[in-house]
Amino acid sequence: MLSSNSAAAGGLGDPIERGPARLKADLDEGLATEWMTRNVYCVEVSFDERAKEWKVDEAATENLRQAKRKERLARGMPVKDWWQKSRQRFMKREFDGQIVEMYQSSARLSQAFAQEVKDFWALPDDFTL
Amino acid sequence: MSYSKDDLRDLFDGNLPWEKVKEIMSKPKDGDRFDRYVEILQERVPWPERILLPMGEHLYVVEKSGDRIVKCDCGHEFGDWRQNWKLSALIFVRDDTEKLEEIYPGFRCPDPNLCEVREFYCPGCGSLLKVESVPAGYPIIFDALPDIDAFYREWLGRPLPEEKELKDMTYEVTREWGRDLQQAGE
Repeated sequence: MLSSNSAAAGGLGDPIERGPARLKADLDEGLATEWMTRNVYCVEVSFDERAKEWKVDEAATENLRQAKRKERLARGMPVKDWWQKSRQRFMKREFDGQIVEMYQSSARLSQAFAQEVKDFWALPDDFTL
Repeated sequence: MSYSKDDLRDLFDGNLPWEKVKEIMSKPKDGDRFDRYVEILQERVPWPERILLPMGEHLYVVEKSGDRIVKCDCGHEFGDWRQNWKLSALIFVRDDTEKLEEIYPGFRCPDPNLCEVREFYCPGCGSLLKVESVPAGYPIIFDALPDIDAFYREWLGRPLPEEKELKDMTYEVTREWGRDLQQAGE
């Protein structure tokens, strides 16, 4: 038997905006895990043993979601700061060998791509990838 | 052909029954759909600027004092639509196993040596606006530079009064950042 598992990451929109009722339905059908529901979608749930179904705690969900927004604002950095740091790394080629090779072979294939990369990192004209 | 605003509102919110959705999908596109859609969005946003083009969830190109800027529904403004708005966002990069495993646990986790996941947040409301997965060092992806004038002129048949040159202005931003580094004595 051949089993192939590929990790796809499709999806549209912010997970913390998904309707809690839809998460409850996914849980009841066994399509979502409790961990994922709480940590990725920020919906607080518990299993009602008597009714044999998942229940959403609306107030706790709202708190989780507010906390997630605050967490993002705290850990996100202005792109300009990230750019300065990452530019240094780019100039020193501090990447896995396969990535270095990818940039070099892509630059050989496409002058336009090489220019795009150099423009994005504001690299000197004589810099070669 | 035309649909009621209530039906369109339910369609966009995913609350229209499937039979009705199927009926809409099977018929020729209603000519006034774009204008109705923008009307609905305009009623929902808390600011007065005119929406020229919705850019997906949360973001809109709006007209403000003669400029066309990208604006979040929370009110945060990202600058000219010809510059990649992501450069004015907050970024969080998942570039090690620990940070990647928060989203992709176990064997689903990609190799952090080959791939990083960049999350872009709105600095105003903390919404997750976009995620991109790229090799380290890859330029931030400019998802779309819509030709708004061509859309209004050729598709809606009513050109906007003041047409703008269509060109990617993202590198003007990075060039300026480069100059800032030089001045700081790189």
